[in-house]
Amino acid sequence: MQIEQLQVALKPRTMWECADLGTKLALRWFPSLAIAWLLIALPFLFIAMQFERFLIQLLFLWWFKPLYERTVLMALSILIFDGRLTIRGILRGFTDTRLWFYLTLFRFSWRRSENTPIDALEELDFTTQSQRRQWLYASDNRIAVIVTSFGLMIEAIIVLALIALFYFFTQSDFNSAYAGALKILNINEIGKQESTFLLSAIFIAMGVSAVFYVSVGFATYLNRRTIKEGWDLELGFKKIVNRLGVLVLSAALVLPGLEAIARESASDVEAVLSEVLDAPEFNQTKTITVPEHLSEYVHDLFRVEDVEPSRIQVGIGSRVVSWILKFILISSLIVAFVFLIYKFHATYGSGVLRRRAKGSDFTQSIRVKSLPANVLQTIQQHWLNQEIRESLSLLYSASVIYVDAKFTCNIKECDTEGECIRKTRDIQADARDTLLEITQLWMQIAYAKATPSEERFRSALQRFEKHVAPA
Amino acid sequence: MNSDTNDELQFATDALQKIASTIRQVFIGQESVVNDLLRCFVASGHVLLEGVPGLGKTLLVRALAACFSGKTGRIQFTPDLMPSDITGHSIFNMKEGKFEVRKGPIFTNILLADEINRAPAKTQAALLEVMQEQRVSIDDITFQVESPFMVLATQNPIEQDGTYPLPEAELDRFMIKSLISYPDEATEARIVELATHGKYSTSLNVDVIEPCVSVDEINRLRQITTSVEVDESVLSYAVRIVRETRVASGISRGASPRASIAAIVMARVAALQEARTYVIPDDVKAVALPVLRHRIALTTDLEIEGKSTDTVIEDLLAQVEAPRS
Repeated sequence: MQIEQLQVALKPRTMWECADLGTKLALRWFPSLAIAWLLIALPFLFIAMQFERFLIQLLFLWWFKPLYERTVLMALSILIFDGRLTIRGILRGFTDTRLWFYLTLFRFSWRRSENTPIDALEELDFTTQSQRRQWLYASDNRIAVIVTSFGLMIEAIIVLALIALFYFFTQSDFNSAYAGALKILNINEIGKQESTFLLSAIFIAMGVSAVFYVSVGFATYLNRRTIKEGWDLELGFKKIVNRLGVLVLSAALVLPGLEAIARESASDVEAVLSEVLDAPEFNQTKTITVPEHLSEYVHDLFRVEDVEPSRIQVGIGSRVVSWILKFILISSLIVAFVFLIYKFHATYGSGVLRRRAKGSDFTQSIRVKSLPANVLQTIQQHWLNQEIRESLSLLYSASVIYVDAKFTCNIKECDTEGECIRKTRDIQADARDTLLEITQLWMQIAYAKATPSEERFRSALQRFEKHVAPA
Repeated sequence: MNSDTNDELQFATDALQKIASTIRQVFIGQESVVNDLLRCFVASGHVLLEGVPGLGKTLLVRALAACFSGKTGRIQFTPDLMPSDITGHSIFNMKEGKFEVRKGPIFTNILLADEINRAPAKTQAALLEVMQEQRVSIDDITFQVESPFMVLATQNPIEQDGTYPLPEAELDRFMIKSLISYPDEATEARIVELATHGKYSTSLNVDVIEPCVSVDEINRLRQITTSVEVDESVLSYAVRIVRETRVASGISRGASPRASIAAIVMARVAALQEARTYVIPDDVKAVALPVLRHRIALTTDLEIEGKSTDTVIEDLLAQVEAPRS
């Protein structure tokens, strides 16, 4: 990084001014940054489209976002230092091994926008990177979270706007447009064309928001370096040095004797400075024990600026409390996540109401097992005991269960007599006629209170044994 | 049923069939609407009919009334309609020097309350009270309405601006809600042919209808309906369906016990139509949609998703076990 070639004015800025600067950077180089993003993102879009299910397509495309953002960052870092934009320069960001952490462990990091410039541009080892991140953003890490939240919202708004735009221009009336837009958002029942359109809309939204997201993160990074490292002062000094370079050179030539005097004076000054710095007033230390989860906020809490992260001590008790709090937080999130999935599935599963699906809960084998061991004998026993209704009830239930098991008619617990007959319309004629006869007998005894003759009962039982009951 | 069961059953089935076929002489298509209307008429209920204008709602009412030489009335509900415009009022007769009662259009056999949601709640309530009580009080004098008496109220599903949606309690007084939709192409062609063949008029004429049953026969038919057998298991099935609406996750307001009663009464007529003296679960299922669709309210989630009440009811029916023992 050649700081002298920086294309923006450096000065300490507030959080919002950083966001403003980032937006301006994005607007200034939008075409170049968007092309850099497309360079990597487009192949991923084509790969995503090869998957069958929309959710997998979406997940695939979304998961690799840090990769596409890296190209935008590299392009921006080249442009901001007045460099020449080349594909090689853009791809240099992929040499950072830490990138793979962003695709795995840190994929859900809220602070990716401000951490990536350190990882990609400073070429430090892992430990130094972590320390540097902590030091650089120790007292101001809110903007990264805000930028990420805004980015997500903007993505959602762009997707919805594109859907609305498409449907309101292609449909003739409001109702059709509204219905179409609602249909496409119901990702469980989305068709091939709709999924392609929706994925493309999401892709565009991701591209637009990525440029701004990365730019604001980079502006924040520049600002933190300006505040912590005095980049603005360094730049100022360098400019002064450049301007006075000739004058200093001349002075050095004209007054060579001054060098010796200066050297002597400098050694005296160094001695005095060492004495002052070694004085007890400059070596007062204070130990502050803070809970681990508050260690990042120690600067804000105790109004101290120059505490190095390595000197912050964390007490054992605080560490335990911190772990308990983390455990509770993570557990709550998991429970909330599981609850949402359960609620979503229960409410909007395959049917409109899926609180209890009695019709589909029973498999054929379970239903067959629900019958007594010897069905025929039990039916006859009931008949002999003058328990006509029980006898015909069992005969009817067994017929329905056996016919369903034998011919796979998809008969459910909620199906009435008429529906069972309709569902068995196309099965083997003998079985169908037997079921029809038994259903009539059952309906007569159950609903008309009419007892069938023994002859009719025996005939039905014989046909049941012959055509319906398993061998 | 006693020894006359067969005769009674034969009479009831024939009467129902005659009324249905007579209506179908002029009212083409919409089989389910005709069926719902007929069942509700015999079950002494009132119908809420929803459909866009021009689908023959008035014709349907007139055709039904023509089947038994009954009187028909029609009230076009408007925002300035007063309760007395429906029930009637007393007026001072200058000639005789005393007040006399002028009965309103409610005193008829079949009343078409057109676009009932255009009138304010007070006027709606006047009509709904008569529907429930079957009598009208005008200046402290109580009058019985005609028998048979049936109100067929219509609602327009579009143009909802400036309407007064019926409150839930009042919706519950309609035995069924039937949806009248656009006819298919062949049916529409047949309607056009009938309406325009050999005359200048553009509407179907109910004058061709000859009365097929008398008022006494209708009352007898209603009496026979009450004796149709309903087994405990079928009764329980109907109740379970209605109770399911109160606990289902996608429904914010379930149906009242009136729905269970309506389902059984309607199912009895459905059984008679099939020449049966007993109700089977299929009859209950057949009437569940018209009986329940105006008695339940969906949750906001499902409404936003665009799910219709009918879809939810069908899903709900798939969750209630049919009687097997």
